[in-house]
Amino acid sequence: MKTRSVSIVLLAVLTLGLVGVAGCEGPTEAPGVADELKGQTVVASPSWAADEVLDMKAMGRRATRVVTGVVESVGPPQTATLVGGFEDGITVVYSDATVLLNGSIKGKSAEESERIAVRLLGGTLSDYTFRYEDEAQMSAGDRVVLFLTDNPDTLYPRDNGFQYAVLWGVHGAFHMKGNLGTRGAGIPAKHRDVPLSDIEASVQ
Amino acid sequence: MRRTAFVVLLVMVLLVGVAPAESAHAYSLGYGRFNPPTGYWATGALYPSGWVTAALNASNAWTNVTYCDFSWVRNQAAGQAWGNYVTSYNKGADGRPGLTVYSYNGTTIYNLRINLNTYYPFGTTGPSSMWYDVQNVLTHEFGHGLPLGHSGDSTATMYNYTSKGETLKRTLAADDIAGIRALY
Repeated sequence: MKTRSVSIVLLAVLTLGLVGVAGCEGPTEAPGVADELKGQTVVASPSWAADEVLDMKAMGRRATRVVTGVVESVGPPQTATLVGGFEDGITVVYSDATVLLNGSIKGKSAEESERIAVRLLGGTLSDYTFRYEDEAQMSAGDRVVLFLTDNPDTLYPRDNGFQYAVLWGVHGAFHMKGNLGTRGAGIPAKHRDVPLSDIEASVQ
Repeated sequence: MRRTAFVVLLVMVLLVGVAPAESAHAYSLGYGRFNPPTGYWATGALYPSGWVTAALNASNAWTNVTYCDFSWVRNQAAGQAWGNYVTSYNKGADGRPGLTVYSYNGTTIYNLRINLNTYYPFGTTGPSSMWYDVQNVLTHEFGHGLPLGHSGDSTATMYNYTSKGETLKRTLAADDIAGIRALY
């Protein structure tokens, strides 16, 4: 009898929990996605110049800033419809990651408790998806070394708080484990892991 | 003893049978496909006329693959705002040499645009350490339009890195051919 009561209570709690979750996270109509885009996916696939993106010194020369820090958060997806040039009419989905800096390897020194916004392309909003292959990936809590650019590819919207993008996507974002920086799986294995000392040397 | 030998032999045959299927290809598929399986491309207004032949050769590399139902058909009508086309814009130093963007709804691709970033030096007259080969890069980009993703095979057209003087990607590798046949 006691077991049955406990089961009923548990079932009620679970049911309420599911109703609560569904109520909070059901489909929402976020602004910024035109009706005709819903249900669509846009895919952007770049090809890379090996003599740049696989050369640490070339990356060091090109980067506006090279910083160390911790990803505090990755903001919600937003959209922008680009005007002019190759991108004319393309609606991109992007998020801004907030990174708390604890050091600078190249460029302006990191101020105490300095936070920067790093724009990342890709995401889904209101049943519209924009995929940007080989974009840098990051999550809250990641320890990172980032090669940053303030003048990225023209697919990146430059307004609404834009500060930086990761230079050449996945190639410019190192996730730190101790003193070893690791880049995404799309990069050839022999170029994927780079010690911090080599990263620092690349910008000398 | 004989039974043990038979079991070992059976396991070996099974392993040999399974292993090639696991490692047969390095290509990856994109999302959706053209339906019906015929694409077309047009030259954009800013497209240098000297590159048209290189672009045609690049698309033909895929069209000429046998045992698959796909062809790129050249369409000279330019000026389409959002159709299937190849063009060239200067996207700056932090752009990429080549970029393909396509849209799909459900499983059907309905438009495609390809750009060569003219910030980078491009040429059409064969291998040179001075420039990136137009046909080499465009053969890769037309592969994205099928759509194929990047390949882990460094000899494949769909390998995601290129360099000045490279013309290897003009010719499809077995891995690329397996990729288009998997789609069409």
